Amino acid sequence: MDNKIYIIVGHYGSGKSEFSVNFAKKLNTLNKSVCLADLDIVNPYFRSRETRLSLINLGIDVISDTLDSVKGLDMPYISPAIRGQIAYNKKTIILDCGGDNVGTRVLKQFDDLIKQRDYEMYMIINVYRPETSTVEQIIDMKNKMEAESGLLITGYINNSNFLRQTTVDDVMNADSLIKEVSKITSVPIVYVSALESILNKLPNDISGEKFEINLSLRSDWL
Amino acid sequence: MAKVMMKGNEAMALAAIKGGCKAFFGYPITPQSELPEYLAKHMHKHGGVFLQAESEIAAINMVYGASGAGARVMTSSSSPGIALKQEGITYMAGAQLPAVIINVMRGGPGLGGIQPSQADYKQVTRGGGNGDYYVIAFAPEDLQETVNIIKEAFDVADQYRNPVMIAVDGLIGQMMEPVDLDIEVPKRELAEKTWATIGTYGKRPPVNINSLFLDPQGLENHSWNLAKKYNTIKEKEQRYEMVNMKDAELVIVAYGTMSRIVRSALEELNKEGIKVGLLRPITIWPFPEKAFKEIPESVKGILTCELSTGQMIDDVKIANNGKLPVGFFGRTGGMVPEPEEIIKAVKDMLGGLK
Repeated sequence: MDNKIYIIVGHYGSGKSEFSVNFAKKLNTLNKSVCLADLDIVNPYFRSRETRLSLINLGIDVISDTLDSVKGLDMPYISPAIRGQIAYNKKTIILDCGGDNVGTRVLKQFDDLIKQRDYEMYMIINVYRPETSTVEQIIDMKNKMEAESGLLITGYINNSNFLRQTTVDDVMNADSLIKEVSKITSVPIVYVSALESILNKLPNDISGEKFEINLSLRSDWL
Repeated sequence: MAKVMMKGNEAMALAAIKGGCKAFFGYPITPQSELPEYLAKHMHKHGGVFLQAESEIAAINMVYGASGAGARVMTSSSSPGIALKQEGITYMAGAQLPAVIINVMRGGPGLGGIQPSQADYKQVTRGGGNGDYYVIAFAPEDLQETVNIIKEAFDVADQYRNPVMIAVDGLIGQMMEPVDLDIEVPKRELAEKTWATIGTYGKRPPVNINSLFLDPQGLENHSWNLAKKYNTIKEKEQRYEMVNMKDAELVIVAYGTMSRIVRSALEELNKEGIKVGLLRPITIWPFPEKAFKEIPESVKGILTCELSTGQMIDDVKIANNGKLPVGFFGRTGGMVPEPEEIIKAVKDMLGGLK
């Protein structure tokens, strides 16, 4: 049970990498041996590999490409070590995918291995992204990502935000919408993630476990 | 449409649609590829045309053609791709054709890198093309300002019959930010495009879209007419923001992403009792020379901060006209400084002035 694979998917810019980095740190504090694999070959900016050095210092493995790049590499390939980690089954693995179904396509090469393991595939949702702002759009995106990867989504993460401008109402309105998606698709909302200042103000009956995000890819001045 | 979370490149694409853009011709290049990708997906829903050309050069010439036919048209690229477009841009300036061109700048020279940069300043403000011409160039600092300017830019281009460039660095193209696409922007009074080649219908003589003037006197007349237009633009279109100027000891000149880092640095400096102002060019051509006349008497020096080895500094020196010492701080190649580095540069410069 310990060596679960967590696959983080979702629309472009919905917060997959921020969640993945924070999730890796969280699992690490629970004494799990964690490996974060950055599978984003869609976008060369704001990727989880940018936090590589700080994560390695915490004892978290980070794999992306074979050059262990942090920034600046715009090459659509991933390290074969990722397949090795999945097959080896010794670590809790977080697979941080690129955006949309284009980003989940990369999973197809592992789906045979992943299906043999205990896995969760979480879809991150920010309902304030114009292309995942309705129940229909979210379900459409879910279906496309599942079809492309050959894997099923097992949980939703409500990460709806306007960065530092987010209000409690923004998160609550998103909760209503994603609940509707959850009801139609019979997939649970597993987390609601937000900055600490918002998370503390959310009511306890909100769907999903509260998960704190510390912005690690975005500088304080941005 | 209420406030939404968008990535810079997507927001710029949608802003173009909102600004009435009816045709887009482009070619992918990091870090702006999401912009054509977004338009490929959405342009047709708004009655527009999206076409991926076979190269940047082909794209800008398609822009020339569509503009000549009177359409609101746009292209986008990043630094080396903009370099390729320069021939088409000078042809458009010569033929007096409006268009909006978005440059999501990355490091150079040559292929350079894919991380954010402002090292195209001279390419943008001086033009990489030949002849006596300029493009009107905006350099916004956040997504809201960027989308507002893009919506207005189509009017500006039409008003002056000249290409307008939006120069942002890769970070603005790639970052997420809340943005409202429906904020009203100023509308210009625009004349009918009687120069557009849309057929005479037997009612008027044919018109020519052309930048070739073989008669030297004709070309001189044309060039002076353009110069007159550029002088009007210099007079009317300088845009800038002055921040924290009261009792400032030093003024930082910075635009785009760099001005955001400077804003953070100013807050810290203010806490320490060091008064520093920010002169933020919003147009980089015309350069906001007028802003320098508003610099208060308390200021002892000017620090230019850029994501380059120093390009805008030449315009700062021209505008300053020898009045105050001008210093420089820059990071380049895709390296983006933290506010602490600006704070140190400010203290170093103030130390040297005392």
